[in-house]
Amino acid sequence: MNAYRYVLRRLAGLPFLLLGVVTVAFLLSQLSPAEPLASILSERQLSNPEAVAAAKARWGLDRSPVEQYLYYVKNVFEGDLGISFRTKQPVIEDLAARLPATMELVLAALFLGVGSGIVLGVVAARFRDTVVDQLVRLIALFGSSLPVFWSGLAALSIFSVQLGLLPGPGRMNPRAAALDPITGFNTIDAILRGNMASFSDAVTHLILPAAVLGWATTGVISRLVRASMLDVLGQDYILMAKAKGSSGLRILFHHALRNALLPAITVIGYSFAYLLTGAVLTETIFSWPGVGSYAVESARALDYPAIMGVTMLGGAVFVLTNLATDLAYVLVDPRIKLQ
Amino acid sequence: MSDILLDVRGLDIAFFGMAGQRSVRDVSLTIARGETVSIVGESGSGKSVSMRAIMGLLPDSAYVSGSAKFLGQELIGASTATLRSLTGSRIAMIFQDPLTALNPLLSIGDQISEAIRIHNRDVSRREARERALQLLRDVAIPFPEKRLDQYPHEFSGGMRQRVVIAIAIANKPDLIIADEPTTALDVTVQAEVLDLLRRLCRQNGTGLALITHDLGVVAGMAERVYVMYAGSIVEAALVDDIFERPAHPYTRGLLRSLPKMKDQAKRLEDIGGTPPTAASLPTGCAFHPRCSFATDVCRKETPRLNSYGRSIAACHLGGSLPAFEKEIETA
Amino acid sequence: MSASAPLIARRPRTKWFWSVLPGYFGFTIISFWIVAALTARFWIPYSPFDTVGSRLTPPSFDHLFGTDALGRDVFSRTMAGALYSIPIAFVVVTIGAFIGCVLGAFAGFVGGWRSAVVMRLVDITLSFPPMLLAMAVAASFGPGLTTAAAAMIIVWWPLYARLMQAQVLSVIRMEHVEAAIASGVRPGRLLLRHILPLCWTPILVNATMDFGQVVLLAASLSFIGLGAAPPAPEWGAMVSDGAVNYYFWWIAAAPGVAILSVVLALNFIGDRVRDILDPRKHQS
Repeated sequence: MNAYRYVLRRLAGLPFLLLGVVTVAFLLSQLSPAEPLASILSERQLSNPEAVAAAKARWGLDRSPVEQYLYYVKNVFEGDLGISFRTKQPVIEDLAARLPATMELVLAALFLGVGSGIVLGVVAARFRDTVVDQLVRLIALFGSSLPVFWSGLAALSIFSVQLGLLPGPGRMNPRAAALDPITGFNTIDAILRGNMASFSDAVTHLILPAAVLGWATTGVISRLVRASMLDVLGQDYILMAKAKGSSGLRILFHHALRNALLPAITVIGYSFAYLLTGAVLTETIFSWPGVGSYAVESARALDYPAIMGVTMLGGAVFVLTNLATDLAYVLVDPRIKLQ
Repeated sequence: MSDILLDVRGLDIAFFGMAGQRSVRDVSLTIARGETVSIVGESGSGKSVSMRAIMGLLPDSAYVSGSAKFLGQELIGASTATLRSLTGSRIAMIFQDPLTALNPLLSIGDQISEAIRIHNRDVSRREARERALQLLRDVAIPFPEKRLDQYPHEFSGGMRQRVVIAIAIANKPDLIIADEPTTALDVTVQAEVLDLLRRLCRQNGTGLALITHDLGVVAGMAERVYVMYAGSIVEAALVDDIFERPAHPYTRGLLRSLPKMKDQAKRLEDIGGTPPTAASLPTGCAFHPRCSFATDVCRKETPRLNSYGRSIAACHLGGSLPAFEKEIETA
Repeated sequence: MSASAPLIARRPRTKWFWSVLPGYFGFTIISFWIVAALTARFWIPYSPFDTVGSRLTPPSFDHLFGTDALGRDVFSRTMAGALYSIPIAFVVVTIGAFIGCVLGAFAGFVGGWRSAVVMRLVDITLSFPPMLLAMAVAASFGPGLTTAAAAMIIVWWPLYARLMQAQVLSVIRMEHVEAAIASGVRPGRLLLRHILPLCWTPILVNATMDFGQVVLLAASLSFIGLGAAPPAPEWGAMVSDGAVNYYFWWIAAAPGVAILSVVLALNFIGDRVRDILDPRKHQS
């Protein structure tokens, strides 16, 4: 009942937050030194009076700032984020084309980071205050202290240039035949097409950036899982499980881990933000054609419509993941069952 | 085959970082098959710690020495595998707080079935479920079919303790260690749970070690009583003798602090002072600072257990104490 | 049984080794970089801005960390770079924490719609991935070190505001504060004398823990090209130079290790500060 109201309240807050995201983007675009028209139209179109007039009308540029804001909100929610200076394409199309690459990278990194974080956290809790625990702590600290744009570079230099074990930057070998996209996830598309060569190509390209990106979240998650494992391991029901004659592993994974992961769900969800942040830099290092490298290229070129588009997309994804995280928390814990 | 179920001798327990002070000192006790024995003492007296040590449930920071034989098999220092095969099947434990003793994320049915399947690998999931259902019936939980798939938070405290009992009896153990099984429950529920426990133990011929701080609980349940104070056993006696002829001043104090139905208006007596901790143990008899009979010898020498009639007690004054007149009732 | 032979010796020194020592280690590293920031210009062998040797030479005695694509000395540039990262992080954390604390304390103390306005602002700012928002703000203000710092402050203050508001709300319910309210202490005095002194610990712990993250973010912005302008020997920008020529590993190696060492050291110090200030952490 309480949980039900909580969900409703969170859902009700969603449009408000999304509007907030758009508002921030609007304010930033007002701040930017570029002429407002120039942030919508490409230079070539600027000399075309018809296009200028149409854009002015569409974005309400000849109206008051308040009306401009309303036009902006309306356009954004209709999916019109303006035209990129750099690519001369509608920003929304650029983003749509690049989103799958980012999702593939971020999900792979999330999988690696969360997986290793949980394992390391459990190990650290099990061997608490021993050398093992401290080693895990060091691994975690290094992970959260490493600048991903540098560790990515180091990884490339070591595994690709020096050892030649893994391919260099990029998503696929440029000389290989292109894959017809289905989902936009190269690894999945390769499987769907039954193309094993493409699959191994996609996976070997994915390993380094995903590992570099995932390591950054390993730290946060392993620390949290450790703390919450220690908390759970001190509970009576763990003693009870021991009194039942459960084996050590069974206690650790069947009884303790589930309970310990409840608080971790929140951090796993929030670590999505870390990953989005990290993806911006990782994609740049690995020439990964995703939203992150698009953001950096746009920022370097001061391509305002593209920057604002990426920012809004990031904000929207962030808000939605956080919401999903909080809702998942409510759903997973039987104590807060929805009535 | 001997009749002795559990034979504990010279049990000593210390915890890491406590500067060598032992939380439990030289505890010896026995429990016969099918017998109910109560271990009474204030919190911190070492009664729970001793029993947990026997089951191997103490944290790694505990140092345990001495001997505890279960049906002739040594438990102290036994391998993890040995302990694991005994705990939950031959020896079961009921914890004090049913609110925290059940895993909140597993259904009741899963938690009962688990106890069965850990020790009987060949029992199928469905069989285990059937047996869990029967166990819920045994502990008199209404609508067991429906309750089986529910989670702990959907049960009241008393019902949860019944579930804990169901888990304890799942493998028909020879010995159940019940650690303050009713302390966390409402007074009205306490009697029901105790009745249930007594009935089940009689039915199955299970030995019961009932740990409690409440002598009132002891009266209707136990055949023999051990009284613990500050990590040592200070008196061991048949239950009638405890109430009629308590040999240790501490036992007398406990009896005096019991509420009596006859004169509810009378103020309950308290034993003055607080029990010492392992780190602040006084010299001589650990009880002397709170004992109204204390003499010089009590302050200097640690008393040993001596026989007084059918009881044994660790008191220098032993037989020379004034007769216990059940002062409360006569006064 | 022999009577009271101590069963336990004493706690081993591992705690010292693993938790106190890293604190000192971090402190030493940070001290080194602070000294470098202040004095590097006097003892570095070459100018950090000019071409001083042949291009892309690997590390040698002449050029300890090699030279970059423009023939600049990577060692000199790395040492001089301390003057960018450390002051920026300090400024961002201090100002960000100050703004956040003032607004958070205000929101927690006054409550009502004024609190709601501040906290919604916090919510909205926190609904962006920090890096993306910092990029957007920095780009909108125009690239440069100052705008990057401003952008980071904008990203950072809400964390402190949220923390401070929660802190004030919890302290305000404490008995001594309620007693002070009951005895008619004026609001200003109540906040300054009775409430705020009890709010600092988590703020301080978080600020130390955040320092490293700010250094990382600042370097990231420079790496992208939104921070320090090109010739400046900022570590992030130097790694960016190395990224272009990643076959020549030494260009990015030294500045990367510099960033890592600063962030790691700050994290060690942060852990230690938390151990000392957070009483819950004391019990092992």
